[in-house]
Amino acid sequence: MLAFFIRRTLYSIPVLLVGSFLVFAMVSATFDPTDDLRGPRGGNVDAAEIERVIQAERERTGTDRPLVEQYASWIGGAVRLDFGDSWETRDTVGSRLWRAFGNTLQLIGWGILISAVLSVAIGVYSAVRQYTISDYLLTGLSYIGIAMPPFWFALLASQFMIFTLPNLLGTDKFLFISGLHSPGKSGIFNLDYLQHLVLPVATLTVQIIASWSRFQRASMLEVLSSDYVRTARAKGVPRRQVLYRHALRNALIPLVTVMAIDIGLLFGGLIITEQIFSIPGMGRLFIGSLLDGDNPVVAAYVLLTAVFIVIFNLIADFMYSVLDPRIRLS
Amino acid sequence: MIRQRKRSLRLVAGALTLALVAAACGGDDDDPKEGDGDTTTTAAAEVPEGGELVIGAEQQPDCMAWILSCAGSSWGYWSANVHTMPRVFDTVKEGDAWVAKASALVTAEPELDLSDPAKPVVTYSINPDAVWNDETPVSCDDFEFTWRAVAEGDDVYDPTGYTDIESVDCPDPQTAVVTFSKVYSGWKQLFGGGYGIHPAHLLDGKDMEAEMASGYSFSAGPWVIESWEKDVEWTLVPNENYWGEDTAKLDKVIFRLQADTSAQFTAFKAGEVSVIYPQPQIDAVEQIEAGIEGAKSEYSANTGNLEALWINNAAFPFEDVAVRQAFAYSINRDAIVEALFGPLGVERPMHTLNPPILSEFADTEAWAGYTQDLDTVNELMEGAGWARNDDGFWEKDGKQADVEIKSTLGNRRREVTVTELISQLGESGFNVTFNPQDAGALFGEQGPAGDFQVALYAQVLTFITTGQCNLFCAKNIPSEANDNAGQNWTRTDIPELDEALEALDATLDEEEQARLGKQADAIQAENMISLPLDPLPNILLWSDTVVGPVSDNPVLGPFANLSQWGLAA
Repeated sequence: MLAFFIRRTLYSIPVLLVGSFLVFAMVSATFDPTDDLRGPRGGNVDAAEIERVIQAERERTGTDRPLVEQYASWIGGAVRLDFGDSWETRDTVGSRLWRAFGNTLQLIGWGILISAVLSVAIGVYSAVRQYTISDYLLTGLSYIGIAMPPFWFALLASQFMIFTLPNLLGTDKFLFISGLHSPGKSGIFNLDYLQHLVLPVATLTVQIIASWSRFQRASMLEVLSSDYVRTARAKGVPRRQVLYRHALRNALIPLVTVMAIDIGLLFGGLIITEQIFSIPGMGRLFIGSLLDGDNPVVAAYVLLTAVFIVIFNLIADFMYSVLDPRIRLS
Repeated sequence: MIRQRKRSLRLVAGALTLALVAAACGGDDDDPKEGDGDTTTTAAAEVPEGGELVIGAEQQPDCMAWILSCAGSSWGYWSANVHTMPRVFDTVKEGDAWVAKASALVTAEPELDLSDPAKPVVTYSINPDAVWNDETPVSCDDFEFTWRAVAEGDDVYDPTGYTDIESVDCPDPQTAVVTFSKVYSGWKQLFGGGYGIHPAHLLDGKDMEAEMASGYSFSAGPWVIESWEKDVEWTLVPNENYWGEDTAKLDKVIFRLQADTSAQFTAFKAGEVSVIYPQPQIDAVEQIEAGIEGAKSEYSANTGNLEALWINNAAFPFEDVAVRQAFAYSINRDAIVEALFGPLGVERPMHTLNPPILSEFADTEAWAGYTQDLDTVNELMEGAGWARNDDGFWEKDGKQADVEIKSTLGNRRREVTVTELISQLGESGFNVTFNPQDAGALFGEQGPAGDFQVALYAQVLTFITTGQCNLFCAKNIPSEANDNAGQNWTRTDIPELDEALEALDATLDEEEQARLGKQADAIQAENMISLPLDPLPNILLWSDTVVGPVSDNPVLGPFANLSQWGLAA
């Protein structure tokens, strides 16, 4: 198994290198750190002085050097986890990523936990009650959830939970739309945090639950129709025991694989949720840096996201073998 | 000195705000307009003390080292610089006009002494009461340090003007004598402007970036930066040692970053933030039109911005003035402006290429004659030897009047504008296409290189200083002679205009500046060098719980008098 992981890791290195170079090159071709110094301006400015400043900025950011040289310098630092400095804020890229990662991790942690519990429950329930009204209802809701754009859900949910529902109940609003805390507050074990978390986590999870519950239902149905489950029932094993000890464990295998892959993607994919709810996570950092043309941050973000995807793919393979001992990684 | 709403310049390419200066826009566009609420303000004496105010900010400062190239963000200036860094000149409203007036930092209005025209001198008499929050007096050393830091720094946002200073002498700590090497007409924006005056005793010999980029604790203004949690919020608290009259009434002001406009409005409606200052994009205008309960609002069009169709006078088919004029007569600018900003009370287009705050120095009716008139279009084009081809477009010498309009990517308002332009210009025989560009490519490459026919973007002026020679004098057309650094991207080349603009730059007499400015406007309009388009009002919304003289300042920003604001009990 160790050889498998080492080999997969080695295989992923050229993929990451090629991918990161392409991203670096494309972002470099698209954005110029001196853009902010250019642009139309009125008034009495000294154009020659502005040009001098622009040249100095090129030297400072290293963009006066050939692209390959810039990339070599950047990737050399990246392997030592030194991603350089943000062109826009002058902070280290590492510190910006770390702050953003912490916030995204909170969303993903809660989102995955809730999604996993609910999707397994829904999937099992639907499978066990296949072709009943409740199954059809849950199936229909799942399709709606899958089809519904997260930003649309976020706007509807915000409107309903923040304005409509409190009005109907005649209460003050009990949820917040901005950030993870109210100004001046912090911590994750308090009501304020929970009130801020509900809407973004709901936005994040609705599509995931819809999707995963379908996987779980299909997987559970397949297992329930397998010979060993029939045999267990024929031998008089209690239904609950058959379902949860024999069927569910095996039915979780495909879902766990999908979950691991999706988690890797989520680290880079919460752009909409974070933007709408003003959460300073990885997605918002990415979109902000992209719009600002902050190449070091964008390149580091993409590399980091790719690394997460590779890691979670490896975890998926590993989990697969753990959950099904018949599978051996080689 | 220019600061930018960065995302707007990149995605949205700049805010436009046009001059509804009284005459230009007729009516009261400069006055506060009602949204759902009213704009009643509370006299300063009645403003209660205490409380925490949360303001929704669509951008955060990239950094707070104001003179460095990382500090070009408007929001950084509005929310932190203005409240902590001392400056010589304030921008205040006198009647309908915004003017530069000496601040309380100096005891007398500084004036340019031209006894020796080759070496103009300005003497600043510093208020002896003015101190930093560590009680060190603001002194001449601070002026000298600021000058050297800007003029000699390697990483400075814009050293314009400071490099024209020959020396800063200190006959005593409270007097700074600044000697210029030549006349610099924008001298009033020095030792203020986007930078402010920096404390020598704290920064001399230090790394400015390390000391200030992530925030700083010194202040000679009414507020001190208490904290900056990047990407989340930054907080101001009162300066306990503030020496001026307008001491802060609130206990704390928190600027909370909310980049998404819809989320910003939702947070405002939900009471999570009490003040917002959104860009006048279509979705913001729509939200306002729909109504916001409990909100007061001010829509101000008297700003330093101007959006126009900038025409490359050297590019086919616009090298012929008749074509440029026909182009202008093809467009119903009134309808465009009404459609975009009617709900904000802005209904008239701009008729000058000067921004609204320079209306005193502009002929604000210069372009008023250019209204949609298809007969005149036909007359002009046919007179210039053009004829309609089978497709209905103008053609001359086998070349069709194809026009490509460039603008910045991702700006829905501009997309709507160009869509309407394509329709109007198509009717009058111009085959128009839209080619949106990344802002960096448009402003960094295509503009200077003249690689455009027509470009739609906004010019932004952030200090009341006249002068357009850098934009329209022939000597400033990017060329090897000026190291390709000229900003006359429209390739305007009119000797008569050069003469007026150069004379304007050379004089400090404001009446003469006004006369020359109006003369330049008339020449520009006659030659239709570009087409001023639409005024874009600034939008300030605040909850009715916020009291005090809340209003927008076109130079110092919407929070300029934040120290006079309070929260209703």
